Amino acid sequence: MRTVIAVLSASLVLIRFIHAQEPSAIDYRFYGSAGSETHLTPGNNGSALNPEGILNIPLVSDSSDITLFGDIMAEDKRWKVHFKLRGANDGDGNDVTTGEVDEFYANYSVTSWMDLSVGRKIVNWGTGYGWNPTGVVNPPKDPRDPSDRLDAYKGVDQASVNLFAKGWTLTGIAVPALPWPGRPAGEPLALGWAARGYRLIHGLDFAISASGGGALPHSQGLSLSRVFGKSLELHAETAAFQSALRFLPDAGGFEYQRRNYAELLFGLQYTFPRSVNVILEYYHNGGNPDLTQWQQFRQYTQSADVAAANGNAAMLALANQQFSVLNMGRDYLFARVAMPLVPRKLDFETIMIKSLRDGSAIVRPGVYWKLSANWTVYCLETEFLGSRSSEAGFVPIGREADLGFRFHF
Amino acid sequence: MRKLIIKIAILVMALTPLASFSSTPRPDADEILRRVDQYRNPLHFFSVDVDLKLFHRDENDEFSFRVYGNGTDGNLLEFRAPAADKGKYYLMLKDDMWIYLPDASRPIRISPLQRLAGEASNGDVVRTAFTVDYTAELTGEDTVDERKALVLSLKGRNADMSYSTVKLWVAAESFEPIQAEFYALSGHLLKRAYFRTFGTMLGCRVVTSIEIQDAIRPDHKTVMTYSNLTSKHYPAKMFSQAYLGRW
Repeated sequence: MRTVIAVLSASLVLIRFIHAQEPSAIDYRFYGSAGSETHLTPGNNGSALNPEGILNIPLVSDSSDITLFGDIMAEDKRWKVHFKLRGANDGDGNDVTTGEVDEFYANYSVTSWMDLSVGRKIVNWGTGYGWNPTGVVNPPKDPRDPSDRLDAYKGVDQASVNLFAKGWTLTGIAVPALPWPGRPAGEPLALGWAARGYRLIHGLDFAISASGGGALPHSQGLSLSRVFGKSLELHAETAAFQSALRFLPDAGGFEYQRRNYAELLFGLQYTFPRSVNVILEYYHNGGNPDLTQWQQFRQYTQSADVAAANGNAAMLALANQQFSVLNMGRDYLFARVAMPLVPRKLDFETIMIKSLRDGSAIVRPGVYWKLSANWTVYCLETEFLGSRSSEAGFVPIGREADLGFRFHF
Repeated sequence: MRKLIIKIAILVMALTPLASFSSTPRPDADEILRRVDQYRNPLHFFSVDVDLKLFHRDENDEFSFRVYGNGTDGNLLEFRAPAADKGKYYLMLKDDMWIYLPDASRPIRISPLQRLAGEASNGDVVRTAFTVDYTAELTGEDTVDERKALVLSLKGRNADMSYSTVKLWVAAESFEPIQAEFYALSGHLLKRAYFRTFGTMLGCRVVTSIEIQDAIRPDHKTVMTYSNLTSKHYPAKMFSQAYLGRW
């Protein structure tokens, strides 16, 4: 909380400073969206994580949200204050309402070659569609919903400098505190840093990055992207992590392990005539459980089921807490096909993600119907395909149907 | 006799330049194309508002953009309407293109076939000059709506252009663009453009609306209307992929 207050205070000081500097006219814009969804989630009683439907997952639940974006800026674009406010209500039986400041930062163009930025900001590095190995400061991404349809991404509290020289964009980010996967609760937070150099080289998006310090993993990354001809885009990302702390299954349950590992992604995007767009990606994450650890997780869950049947659900709760679909294997394939069924009225999209370890898959077809320029209704169906012992078979729900609408203003 | 021949020769030599001045020589094709571009946009550093109206059978859609130009190398397009598209940006650096989505908060590399809206390709909306992408050759004369017109054949400077060749009709007396046909590499006619109206912005006579018709589906057409042309010069850093989230 103190960090948030400090960052917001620093932002306000910067805003006051730049406003004093610039007498030019002020421009502004506000926009956003509001939506609601109904979720049908029948339990998967065959899942070892939900034996006999012990989790009591509600069959029907609702959620709604509203997001407001705002930009206040000098007409000459010398400075800009941006915010993203989001309120959400999850009516899954507990009816939780939240309000968040997802972004609130000020950007100031100090010279023609330097910008400063302070505040909470969504930073998104990388060229991958489903995953971003180099995105050490990115908000967590769900490959099943890579476009973040509910505008739920939240920024990090940061101060950054951007230098523009000789075709390069050099970015340095200081992050005072950032919860990242695997950081033990209660561990003192410290300053983290991330740096990135980007350049367009003969049509190739080339970026190298690194991170470290107390609040970010120690990593070095490379990301590339290039378009060939009129239709084909190829992209790749890789990152090496040193001594990263992961909470992984072992013979006795789970333990923290310091790991050196690499993540790799490469993929393509092809646009066929009539706007049929196809994305294919391969992703490897060496930090996820290997086959032995996955088998240990399954054995732990079997023991947890026995314990739960005898009235002790603590082990099963831990197993559920540590299970994260699409993070239990090391190699995945991602495919997305999007096409307009009726141009600008009815769009079809299917996402399929397959675990290369056990062949299980998640398939999510969906249709989006644009009622008017502002209103869209949509229906998404997520199927988990695989045997009971597979990763998709462990998901505590059998399938998920999301029926929703969105209004843009 | 020799004196008479010399006098005639001197007279012919003296009259020759007068003859050439009396009928002004026609500029070459590239110069004509440059003058055509002056009607499309006389400024290198600018912003201009572009409204797109899509007509498909009995359905209409409308989009609004603001285009920022930075010399011949960089153009940036800001989505202003409809509400669902607000906050999006589209950057074109020569032949490289990115789109920035506010919910994804990152620039995404896109290929030329990924369209903005309707019959207008990305380049149709963002590019305001032919000379950046094409070389010209004068191939003939024609009459369009009782106006004498020169016919230019434009060839793409590289093979990856959305349109491999363009046939452009230009008013013979003023070099105003009248109409154009856009062809694929295969030679198929993809679309036709009609430069419908002209007006005055910043004291210059410029095109204020272009109608684009799909050659395969004639009932599909898009009308682009230009307004608020303003001279604006932003730093080069703002026309880079890494700056897209800061506009």
